[in-house]
Amino acid sequence: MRTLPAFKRQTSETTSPKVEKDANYSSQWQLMYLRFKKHKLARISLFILSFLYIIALLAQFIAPYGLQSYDSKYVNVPPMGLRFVDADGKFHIRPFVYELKSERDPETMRKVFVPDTEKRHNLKFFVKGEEYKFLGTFKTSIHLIGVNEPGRVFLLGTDGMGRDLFSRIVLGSQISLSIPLVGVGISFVIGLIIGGISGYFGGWLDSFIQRIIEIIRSFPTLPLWMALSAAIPPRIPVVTMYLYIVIIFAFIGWTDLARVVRGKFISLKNEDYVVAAKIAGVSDTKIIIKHLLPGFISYLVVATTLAIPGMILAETAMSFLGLGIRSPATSWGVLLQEAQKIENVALYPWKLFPLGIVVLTVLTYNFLGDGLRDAADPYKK
Amino acid sequence: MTKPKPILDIVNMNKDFQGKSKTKLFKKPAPVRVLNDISFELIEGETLSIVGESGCGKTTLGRCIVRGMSPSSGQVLYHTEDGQEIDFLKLKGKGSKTYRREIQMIFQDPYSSLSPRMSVFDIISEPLIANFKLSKAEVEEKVTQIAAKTGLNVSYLRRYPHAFSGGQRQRIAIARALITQPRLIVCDEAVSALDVSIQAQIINLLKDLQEQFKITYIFISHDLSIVQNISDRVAVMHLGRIVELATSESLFGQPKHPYTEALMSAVPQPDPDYKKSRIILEGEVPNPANPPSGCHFHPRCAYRTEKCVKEVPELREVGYNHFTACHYAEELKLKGVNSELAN
Amino acid sequence: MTTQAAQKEQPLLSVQNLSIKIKMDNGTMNAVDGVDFEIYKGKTLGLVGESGCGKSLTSRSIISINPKECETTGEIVYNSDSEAWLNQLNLLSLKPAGKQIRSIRGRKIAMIFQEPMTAFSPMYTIGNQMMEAIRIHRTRNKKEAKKIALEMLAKVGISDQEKRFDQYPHEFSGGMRQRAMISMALSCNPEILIADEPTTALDVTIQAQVLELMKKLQSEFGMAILLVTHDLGIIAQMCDEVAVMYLGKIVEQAPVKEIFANPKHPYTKGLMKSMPRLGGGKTKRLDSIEGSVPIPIDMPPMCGFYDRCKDRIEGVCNMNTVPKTRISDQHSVRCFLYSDQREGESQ
Repeated sequence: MRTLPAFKRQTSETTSPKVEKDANYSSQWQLMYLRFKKHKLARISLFILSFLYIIALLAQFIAPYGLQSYDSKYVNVPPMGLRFVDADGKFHIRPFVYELKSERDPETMRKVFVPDTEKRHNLKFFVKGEEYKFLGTFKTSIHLIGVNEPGRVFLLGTDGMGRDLFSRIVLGSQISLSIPLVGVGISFVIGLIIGGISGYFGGWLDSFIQRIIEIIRSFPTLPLWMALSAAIPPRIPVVTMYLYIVIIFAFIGWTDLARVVRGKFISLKNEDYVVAAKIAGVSDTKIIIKHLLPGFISYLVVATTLAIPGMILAETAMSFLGLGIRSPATSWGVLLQEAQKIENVALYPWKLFPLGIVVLTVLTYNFLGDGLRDAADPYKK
Repeated sequence: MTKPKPILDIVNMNKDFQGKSKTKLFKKPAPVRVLNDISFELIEGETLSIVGESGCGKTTLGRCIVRGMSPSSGQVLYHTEDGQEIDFLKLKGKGSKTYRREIQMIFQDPYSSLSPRMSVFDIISEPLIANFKLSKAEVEEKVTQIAAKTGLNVSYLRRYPHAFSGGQRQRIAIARALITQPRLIVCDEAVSALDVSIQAQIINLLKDLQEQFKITYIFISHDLSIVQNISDRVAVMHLGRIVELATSESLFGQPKHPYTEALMSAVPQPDPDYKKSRIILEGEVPNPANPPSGCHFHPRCAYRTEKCVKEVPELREVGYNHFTACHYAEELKLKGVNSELAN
Repeated sequence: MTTQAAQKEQPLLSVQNLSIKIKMDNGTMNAVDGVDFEIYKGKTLGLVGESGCGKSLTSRSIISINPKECETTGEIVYNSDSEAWLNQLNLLSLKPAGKQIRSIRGRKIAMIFQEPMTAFSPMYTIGNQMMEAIRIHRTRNKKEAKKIALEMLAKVGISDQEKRFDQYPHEFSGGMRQRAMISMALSCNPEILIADEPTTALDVTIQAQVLELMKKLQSEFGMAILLVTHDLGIIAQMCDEVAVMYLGKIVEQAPVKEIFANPKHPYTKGLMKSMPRLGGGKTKRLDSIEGSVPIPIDMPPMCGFYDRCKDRIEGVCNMNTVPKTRISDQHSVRCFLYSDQREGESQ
């Protein structure tokens, strides 16, 4: 291997001279990162998702109102627009909302809300409101946005009990965004262990595990959910309920991952470089850790990412059917319960906002998974 | 040189693969015999080539010898440097470590045989670390030494395999096989995936290393031109059996099995003036799951008789160190390649 | 060069200054760079070179089946007297997916590939797929088409054609599939057959069968063959003329006997020497070409073989584009070692 004098690109298979030098020395993860960077949609999705998760983390702080707060005066209020220009046509730098007066529609006799242009409430940052524990550590009553009492701000309207929809979406995201993560995390571990055992040992154990997986997968999901959630005792603390739901999801979700792991395990086991390591006298444990795991961990990340949207949808569906998260806790599925009645949707269309958020989250997860999948095998051309 | 010392004895090796069932749902499919009673002896320091067409079992044989697969029956007797004879396939525990590293392998595809996730240094040092207790500096020194020996640029060792071309990757694979100081290397089609000009480089490297370290090679290949160029002895395999085994000179000069003759005659010679009566075998390579009766080669053999259809020919010695499995080895006047060149 | 060619027979296909550029992340790759050659009726031209030298791209550009990223320039003039519109037709001027090129592809210029499985659809029987081509290009009549198909299968040595006709590609063995592909390619009596590594995936004994078959069918149908391969042995057995490609350029071109007896380019010489010959016995070392093939991305004007060449002239070979030099009537080479011998004739 003589270094060629004129142009040393004989080894380059991928990139330009400058990048090439890096690429030659880059490990799998660095290459995957380079690949991933090229996938625009996935990058945007990652950005949006991080944003959503930050909101979920700081939900109590961001939401103007708490989970329990309601105001029977303001039932089914439509979204309030933030205004900059008041009734006199004067421009205000600070956005504001008008207080709402409720009136009866003379024809339908329905309650309608009209802005009272006399009463202006400026939207403010760091307003005092309900007390909560910031990130579960110390008590505070500062909220990111809000208006001073007795004003009310309902950015996305309210529900049938006079609860602020925006606050509830933000608070619900804590459950809706974390259940899939935890659920997938658990199924990841179960899938890795069971799939690994199945793929590594093979033989009758493999057949046995595969048959079990097939049986689990052939259950119709809806009755299974119903059965499992019927097993959850009623009136239990929110945290316990949350755990139960996660376990239900993990119970169903691990089968897919176990199959991915098993398949990869088997195909990698017969790769020449694994056989070579075996011949060289490398121990089995070392082969698993150094060759097999790095070989399929990237695929697992992809499979996991792509499993999350399914879990989000499942959680939404379960809660929507009243089988999952129940009051007083809330999730996007719970919020959508209000949209079960057609007249609710017709009269108060803003109650579909949670649906939009679900769609956004699922889409971004799918795009992210796409990008990861493209990056997962950086050695393929 | 004293008397030829054996390094390896393959004794009655058989290998069955689970067949694929086609119609029966619950009936276990019959096993397919890919290696059929293979026995031969390997002399220290020689290059023994195993040739044959795809599906003849040559790759399986190679893998069974290095314990990449376990044969269904048979023995691999390994003669250690201090004269012990041990059953290589039954090695366990500590003995396994000491002796297994002495038999290594080089694979056909330099792309799949190197882990893309490890740097070249890690790839080459892996067997070393697994087999010896060495300090970091010692490992570094050994790897650099071997890399230089195999013609790798030492300053590229921290790179990953994807930065290298096929020929360079094969050098990395050779370095990895060499680092445990093996006495025997099984080269499974080690140059077939490479371009002609690179092939020659790698063959030269293998020869140089053999001379330097006194390594014994089992060279598995389908390319007769390369085989003749590199080997001392050649075994021709057909459908899981060795049909001819002889010194390279004797086999290429006076083949005793019609299959060997046909194989040689089929090789296109890079010489437009080279006119020869080619033997064009009729029909296809038979399916190993359903081998023909008697001599497996008889459906394609131009010299077949009734006897060939019925009786399985034994591998027997027909000349000095020349074994063949043909009923008519003595009668047939088969054409080799050396003899033709002489004319 | 044109004057000499004109005195000879008219070429059936003449490729002039063919270049294929591929845009990569890091620059433009000149995969094929200024290739000229001619194909004559009843003759075989061999295109030989190592992987990545552009031989496959060259052959595929003739029937416009290269991927979209390839930017192809130059001229490929097809000169058939069978139909008026095919006279002096520049194939590159046709739309890659257009009706005209499609009517040429398969009917006038057929191609066989290294991996026959890719040429057949696994969903249809062999017979079905052969009939499809025949009925598009030759006859509408179903019975007649089947007759032609069965005849062709018999010609390529497939026994029991009636049964084979109704089998699926996976039921054929590798060699048989290759023969079936040849029979499909030839079923429309093409004038040119492009064979891209037709036997590389096959065993030697089967390879011998297929090569023999191609020769036999050529003498029977009189078609021209463009044989793309890396194997000098196949070249020696099959070809009338040889073009050696290296890094996208034809570095040497000559009749087969001439090139084996009198190779000029250092690369051709190196190839011949580095190849072990059957009957050569066990030798100490082979004469190998050092180094490996570079990737021609944004290459400066120089000889692509410079880095590996034993006879390179510093300051000449790495500074200029190498012109084509005629050694004799039919023998041309791209190398500075010969360019000053016959001044004025280089292009």
